[in-house]
Amino acid sequence: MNFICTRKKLQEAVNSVSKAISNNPIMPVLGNIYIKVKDSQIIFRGYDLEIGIEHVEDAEVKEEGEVLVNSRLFSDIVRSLGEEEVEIFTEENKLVIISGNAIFNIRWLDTAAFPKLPDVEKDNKVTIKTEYLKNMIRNTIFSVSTNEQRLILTGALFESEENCFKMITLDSFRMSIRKEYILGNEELFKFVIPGKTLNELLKLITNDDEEIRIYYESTQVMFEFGNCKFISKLLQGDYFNYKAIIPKEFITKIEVNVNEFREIIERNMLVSDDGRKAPLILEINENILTANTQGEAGNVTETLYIKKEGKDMRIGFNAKYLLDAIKSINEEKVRISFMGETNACILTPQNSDEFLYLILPVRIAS
Amino acid sequence: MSGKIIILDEFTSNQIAAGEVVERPASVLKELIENSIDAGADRIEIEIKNGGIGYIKVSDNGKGIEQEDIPMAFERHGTSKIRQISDLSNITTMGFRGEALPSIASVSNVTLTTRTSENEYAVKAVFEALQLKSITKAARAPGTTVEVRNLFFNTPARYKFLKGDIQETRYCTDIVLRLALANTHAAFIMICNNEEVIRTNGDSELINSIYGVYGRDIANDIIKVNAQSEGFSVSGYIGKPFASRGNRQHQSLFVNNRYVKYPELNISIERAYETRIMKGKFPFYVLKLDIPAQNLDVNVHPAKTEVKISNISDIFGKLNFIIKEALDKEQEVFVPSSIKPTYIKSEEKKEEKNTIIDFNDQLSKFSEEVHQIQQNSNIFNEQKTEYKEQTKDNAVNTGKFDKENIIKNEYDIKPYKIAGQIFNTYIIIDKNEYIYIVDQHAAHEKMVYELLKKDYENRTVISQQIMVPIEVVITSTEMQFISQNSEFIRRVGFDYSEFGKNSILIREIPSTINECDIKDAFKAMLDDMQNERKDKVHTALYSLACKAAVKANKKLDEKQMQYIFENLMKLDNPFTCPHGRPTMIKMTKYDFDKFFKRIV
Repeated sequence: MNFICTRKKLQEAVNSVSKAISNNPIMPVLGNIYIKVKDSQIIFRGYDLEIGIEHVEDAEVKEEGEVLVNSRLFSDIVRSLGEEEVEIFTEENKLVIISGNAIFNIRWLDTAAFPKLPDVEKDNKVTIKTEYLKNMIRNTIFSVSTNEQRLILTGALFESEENCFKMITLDSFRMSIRKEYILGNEELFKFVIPGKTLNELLKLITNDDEEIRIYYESTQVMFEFGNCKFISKLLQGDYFNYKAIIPKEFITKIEVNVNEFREIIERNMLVSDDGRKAPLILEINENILTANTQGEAGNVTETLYIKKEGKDMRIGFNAKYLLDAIKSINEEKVRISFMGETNACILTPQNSDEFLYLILPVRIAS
Repeated sequence: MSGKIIILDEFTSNQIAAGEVVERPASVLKELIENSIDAGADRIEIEIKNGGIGYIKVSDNGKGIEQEDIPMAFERHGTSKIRQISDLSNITTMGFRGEALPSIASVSNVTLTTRTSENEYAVKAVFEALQLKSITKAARAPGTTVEVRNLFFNTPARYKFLKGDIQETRYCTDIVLRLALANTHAAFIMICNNEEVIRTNGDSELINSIYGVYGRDIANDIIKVNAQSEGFSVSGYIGKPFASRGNRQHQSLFVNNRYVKYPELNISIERAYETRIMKGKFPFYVLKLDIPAQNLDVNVHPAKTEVKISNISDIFGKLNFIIKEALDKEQEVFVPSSIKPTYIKSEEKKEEKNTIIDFNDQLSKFSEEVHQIQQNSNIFNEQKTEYKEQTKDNAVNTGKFDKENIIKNEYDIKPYKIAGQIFNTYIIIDKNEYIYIVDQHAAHEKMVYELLKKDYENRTVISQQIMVPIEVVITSTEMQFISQNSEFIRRVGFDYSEFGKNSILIREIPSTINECDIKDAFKAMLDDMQNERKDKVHTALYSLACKAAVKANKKLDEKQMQYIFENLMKLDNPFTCPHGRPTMIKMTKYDFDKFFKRIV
């Protein structure tokens, strides 16, 4: 194997694939980066048996071949190099890396032991702009369940509905639904992607302005964008029937300014962040919303002028759940609909139905 | 000169129920020492041989007995301590029944040598099975010596029931040390088989007596208690929680200076230690209660180790509070007393190098190994590996910690630095000249427990509703149990409804534990509550806290570690988990310097 490549390209490739390489791999061989040189391309791969990443870069190829190198060492070396071109070649059991006046000799291993990345059929495809996908993930990932007891809820549901691409996550206390009207009528899909995969994907997408192709099978999914292929297992099982829990009728509806409300929540959290999770209590009285937290360290009360329909009411929440939701809304106003003091409430932007957040309240000891 | 001893009238003597006074050598010792104390002695020497079966000698420097009183002292109910039954309610002496000497003398050979300060010589009387064999003049300083030989020689049944010498010696030592603790104004010296086993100096300082009786280690680990309350006062010392023992041998309770066994008071004291010591461990204590004589009945049993207190329920609560308060004031981080550094042998290292062939493997584990080499093997491994070069100076190898380095009440914990996490289980806190090693599970568990408990007690529980009700399948017995305890379960913060015969649906959970596996936690709580009869609340909250707390072997980021540590330190008693295990240990820079022999 022998090729010459710029440091920048090497760096990009290593950054990508190392996201699929664990620091503590189950099998030692998975702590390696797979490098294959063929035609005029270098293919880098990382795989931790859950997710796999393949990154392709152009290079000046002198001799084809394939090796495994220790991921951490190779990454550190690449990061340390100057901006010169880098020449890499094998010499017996040594991998020689030359850049400027620096010459590294490191060990390489035979590739036979490295597991093959799964093949994903390209029969079923959805295409979406990276920017949209990233936003959808960001707006929902926080309510993915962390409780492994119901494994299916540790993932996000990707679902098509008419011409809309939907992402749903829910844990026991709240639910996030995000929609983008980007589909034609022909695409029909429903699968659940592990939350961990989505977190890595977020980090991997660096260019907001390109198409990402999502290929899915019954057990796995592949994202293809830029120089990257990102393969992940899917979670198996029936997702929770989330539509059934969305209330349709409300006794109180209010409209508040998103930024003002966010700041109020953040100020309230200053006194509730003490382990006991003192609830944020909202009191709606005529057109005044009073937010109050009685924490161990102190308390805070703040009022806000609002638009209201329906009855006055008093309700308590875990402030963090409200904050996660409100942060994701980038319109000026949010509409909050209540069904009663012990029932779920729903947050939606004033002018669109692209977001829907459902949060369950806490019972306030009287 | 008139005699001091009279025979009780029949009415009085019948009031005092007859009983067994002499059961074993230890009871002989007890009676004799109490006589010495009643005689005003401030120096008492005790000598026993063969567990006291062969020989017991008690000498004192008390006021002695007049010659003409000697025969009377050996008559049943011969006493100088009370005159009539009404005196019983105001007893200030240890003895009063007039049974001890005759009882002892009837089952052994007793030699009594005594001199009062008024007399110029001592009298020596020899009894064999209560028969006076001789009275002769002898030489002795003022005071009394009683020697008892061949105990139970004429009662083979009793003799048969004695345990071996070693066991009897233990009973004897036990009784002497308790009397020594009760009577700090008298110096006690006890010699067993020609070896001194107890010496107290009689300076009226209880701490010095504890030192003399139990040794230095425990004397460093005790807390002084001194409190007055309506109806009683208490003084003495209690052991720090981590100095607790595997049995109740090291508990001494004195009521009006009399060693007693009083289960209710014992429970009251041990309850105060709850959550501070582990199950199956018992606190050390030497406590003296003073109770007005009219509230106290000591005439329950001839051995007088049982008394009755009329306002016991009142004292129970107050005593518990006093002990708790004393413990709260003296909180400390557990300092391991005997960690020995184990040094890595150079051969071991070489071996490792040779065996690791897989280059990649080595690299990937590199940082862990460095960690282990630095942290683990040296300090935490209690297994001794041989030193490669055994140092001649053995003193260096002990690696014992200096108890003086214990810090107290360190609520003001800042500034500190989180140095990291080891074994994914312990958090290392760097605080200038020392480090804390925090058990992440125990610490978090303690924190959650206290939050749950506080909310439970103040009825301020916040219940978080859950989206999908959690179904818990249970047996019909458990269902019954749940219905019986439904009020409690709701007060903890759960809301549920019955769902068919054998399952319930949980709809709300305490918001403090919203990140754990609810089904698991709820079941654990049920199980533990059913197994526990005494304190269901504590048990239930504890098992919830245990399930909700971060587990061992879990990687934490710095924020989480900081969260656990800081919230833990806000608690009243941060240093032990709800079951009494330590949440953290402390080591000083000095210890490390010693391990690495910077300081020899």
